[in-house]
Amino acid sequence: MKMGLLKNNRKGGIILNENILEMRKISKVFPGVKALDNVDFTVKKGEVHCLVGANGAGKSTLMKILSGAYTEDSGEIFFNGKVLKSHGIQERKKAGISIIYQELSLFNELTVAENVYVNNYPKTAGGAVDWNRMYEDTQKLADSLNIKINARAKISSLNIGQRQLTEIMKALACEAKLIVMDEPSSTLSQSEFEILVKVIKDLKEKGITIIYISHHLEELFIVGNRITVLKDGKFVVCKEVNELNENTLVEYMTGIKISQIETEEKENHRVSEEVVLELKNMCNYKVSNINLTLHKGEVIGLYGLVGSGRTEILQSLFGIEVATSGEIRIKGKKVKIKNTQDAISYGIGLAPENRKTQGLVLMLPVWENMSMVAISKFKEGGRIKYKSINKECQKYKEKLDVKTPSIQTVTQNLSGGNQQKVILAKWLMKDCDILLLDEPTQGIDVIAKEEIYKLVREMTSKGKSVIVVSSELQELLRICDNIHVMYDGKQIMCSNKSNFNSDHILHASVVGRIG
Amino acid sequence: MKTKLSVSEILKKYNLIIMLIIFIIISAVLSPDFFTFNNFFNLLQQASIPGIVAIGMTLVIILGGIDLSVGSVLAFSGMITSIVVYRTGNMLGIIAGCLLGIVISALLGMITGVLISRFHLPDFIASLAMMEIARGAALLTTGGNPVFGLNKSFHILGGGFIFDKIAISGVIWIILTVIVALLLKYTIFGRSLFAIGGNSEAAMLSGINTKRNYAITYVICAILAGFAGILTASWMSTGQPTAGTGYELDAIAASVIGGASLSGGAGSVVGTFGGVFLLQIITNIFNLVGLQSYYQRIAKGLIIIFAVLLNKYVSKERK
Repeated sequence: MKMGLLKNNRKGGIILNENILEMRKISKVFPGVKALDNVDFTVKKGEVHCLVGANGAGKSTLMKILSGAYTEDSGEIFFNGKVLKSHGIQERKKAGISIIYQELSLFNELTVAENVYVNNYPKTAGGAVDWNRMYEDTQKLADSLNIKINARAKISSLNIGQRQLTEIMKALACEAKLIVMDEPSSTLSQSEFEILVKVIKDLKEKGITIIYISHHLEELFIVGNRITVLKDGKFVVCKEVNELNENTLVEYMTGIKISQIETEEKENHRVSEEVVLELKNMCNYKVSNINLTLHKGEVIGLYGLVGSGRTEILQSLFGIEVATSGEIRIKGKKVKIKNTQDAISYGIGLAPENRKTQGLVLMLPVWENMSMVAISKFKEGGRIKYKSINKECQKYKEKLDVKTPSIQTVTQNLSGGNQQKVILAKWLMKDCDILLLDEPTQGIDVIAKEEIYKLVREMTSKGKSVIVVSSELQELLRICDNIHVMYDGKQIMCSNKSNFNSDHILHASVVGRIG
Repeated sequence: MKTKLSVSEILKKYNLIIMLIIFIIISAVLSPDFFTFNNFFNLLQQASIPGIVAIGMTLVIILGGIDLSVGSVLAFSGMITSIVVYRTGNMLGIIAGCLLGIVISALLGMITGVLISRFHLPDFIASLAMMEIARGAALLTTGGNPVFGLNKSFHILGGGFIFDKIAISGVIWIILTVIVALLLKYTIFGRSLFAIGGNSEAAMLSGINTKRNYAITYVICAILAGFAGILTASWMSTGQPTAGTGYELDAIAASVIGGASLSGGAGSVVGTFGGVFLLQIITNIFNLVGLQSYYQRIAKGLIIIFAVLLNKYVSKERK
C-alpha cells in the first residue's frame, strides 16, 4: 500500500522501499559560496551510512538541510516514503530525524532521564510530570541498549562518553528512525568509542538508520556499511565500505594521491642542544612530578587517554592553573607563571583544545583575532595603527593560506581548519618561542591537517619549540621528536623518535605501565 | 540583486540615522516649534546628562556586563559635591567638591568591578547592590533633604551657555563621546573590551587581563555617572538625593538602540549618542504637542522594541 502511494507521488519517481532517505539534487547557495551543488544522497533503511569530506565540502550544510535548520534552494527530500516539505526542526524531529551534534546539547544540571524526555515528559493522569515512569522508562531504554548509566544521575557527573549515549537515548525517546551522528568520536577515549560501536550495532538491529560523520577515517571501516564522499559541495562517490580503503577514500576526498603527501615529511629535522624549557617535578591539581626538557627546535608530544593530565600540564605552563610545586625553568631561569600574561611574556603561546570557546572570539573579524595577542606591536604614538595591522594580517592570511573572503570576515564563518590557522597566526604574529598545541587537528580535514603539520615543521626549523597534546597517536608519531605518555596524572613513559613503537605507547597509555 | 544588497547595506550602516531623520521629520510636521535652532539647543542640553551616563553604560555593555548603579552613583556624587560647594562657597570649594564627587564615584565603581571580576558576583546582582547602597548613602548625607542655595559660579558647568545658546554640558557630552569613541577604536584597552565581551575565556587565553579591564571599565562608567551627577547638581543649583532615578534603564535603552548587544562584544558610543538623542526627541515632541507624559513612556517602549528588531533584522541580513 505504501508503494502504491509512492508511485502516485507527482513529483518523484519510484522510491525503492529500502531507501529511508533520499535527498535529490540538493543545492544551497550562501553569499559568495555555492555550499551544495546538485548533491544526491541516499541512505538505505537500517544501515550505517558514513558521510565524509574535507571541511567545507558541504557535509554540515547537507545535514542542516536534513534537520530543517536550513532550507534548500532547490532539490527534493524523501524520507520514509514521504516528501519532506521545507519546515522547521521540530517537524523534522517528529518525522523521526534526530541529529546529535559534536557539541552536545544537554542540560548539565538535570538528570539523565530529564534530558532524555525533555521534549516529552511523561505525565500522570492529573497532568503532572510522572517522575517514576520517566526514570523507569529511561532505565529500560538504557538496558535495552546495554548502556550502563544511572537514569537519576546528573549530566554534570557523567563523562563525555556517557553524555553521548544520553543523546542517543534522547533521540530514541523521540522515536527517531534516522539518527545523524556528527563527529561522535572526536572527544571519546578508545574504550568509550568501543561502547559507542556496540550501541550502534544494537541500534542497527532495532532497524534504526544511522548517518555517521567523522574525520577519523579508520572508524568508518569499523562502523560503516556504505560511504558517501562530498567534495567542494559536490557529490563524488557512494560505495560499500569493503570496496574502499583509507587511501582511496582520501583520494576521493581531496583529489590528491596520498603517496604525494607523505613523502616530504619523512626527513628528520635537527634539534639543537639548547634547552628552552625545563620542568622539574612539577605538580598541579591534577598532575604530579612532571619532568620535561624541551630543546630549541624540538617537538614534544604528550599522549594519553582523555583525562590523563595532558592538558593540565599545558594549563600550568600557560598560567591557567598555577603549578603547586616543582620548578619551571625557561632558558635556564626559574620562573613563576601565575597568569596568562606571565606566560606570554616568557614567550609561550597556546592554541587551546576548544577552538570555538577558548581559542577565538567568534563574533569578531579575522584580523582582530589574529592581532589580539600581538596588538601592542601595532601601537605607535599611543594609538593603534590599523594600516600595519591590515598589512600583517594580510601577510599571515597568505602565508598560512587561510581560506576567508577577507580578513574583515567574521571568524565564525570560517571552517574549523581555517579557524585553527587564525589561532596559529595569532601566536606567530607574537613571535613566541614555545608553542603549546592542544589537539591541534581535532575535527580538521586531511588537507588542513597536513598544512598544520607543515607549519609546525617550519616553525621548528626556525628555532621554535612545540609541545603537542593529541589523542591521535599517528599524528604524534609523525611530528614529534619525543613522546611522553601520561596516565592518571603521571608520566609513565618517554619515547624517542629513534625507537617509536606505537604498540608500546598505546599499551602504556591504556594500562598505565610499560610492558 | 545588487541594488537589493546596497539597500540592506545602507539600512545596516545607517539604520539609526534613518530612524532619527524619520522622527525629526514627523516631529517637525507635528509641531512648528520643533525644527528650530532654539529647540535643537534645548534638546542638546536636556540630552547631555543622560547622554554622559549612557557612554559609560555602553562600555560596560560592550564588555558583556551591566551597571544598574549609575543613577544612584549620580545622585551620591551630586550630593557630595553640593555639600562641599554649599559649605565652602568659593571657587576652591567648587573644584574640591567636584574632585571629591568623582573620586568617590570611582571608588564605588571599583567596588562593583572587583565584586564582579574577583569575587564572581553576577554583574546584575553586584550593581543592583551598589544601586541600593549608593542611593541610601545619597539620602543619608542630608537626611533626604535637597541642598539649596549653591554658589552661582557653580551653576555655569551644568547650566551655562556658550553664545547664550549652546549648553556647555552639551558640548562636554559631544567631546566625551568623541574621546571614548577614539578610546574604543585606537587603544588596546578599547579593543580588549570587544574581545572580553565576545568571549572572555578566549580573551584571557590571549593574555588580556580580563579582571583588571573589568574593574577599569566599571570605574570609568561610575566616573561618568558621577560627573553627570555634578552636572545635574550644577544645572539645578541644587543637590538632589533622588536625582538620576531610572537613569540606568534609559542608558541601557539608549545603548541598545545604538546597536549594543546585551550579550557583549558589540556596541558603539556614537550609536548610543544617537540613541539618547532619539529618546530625547520623543520626550521633546510630546512636550511640544502637549500630550501627557504617560504617553511618552509607551512611545519609548515601542521605540526600543522597534529599534532592536531593526538591528536584529539588519544583522541577520548581514549573515
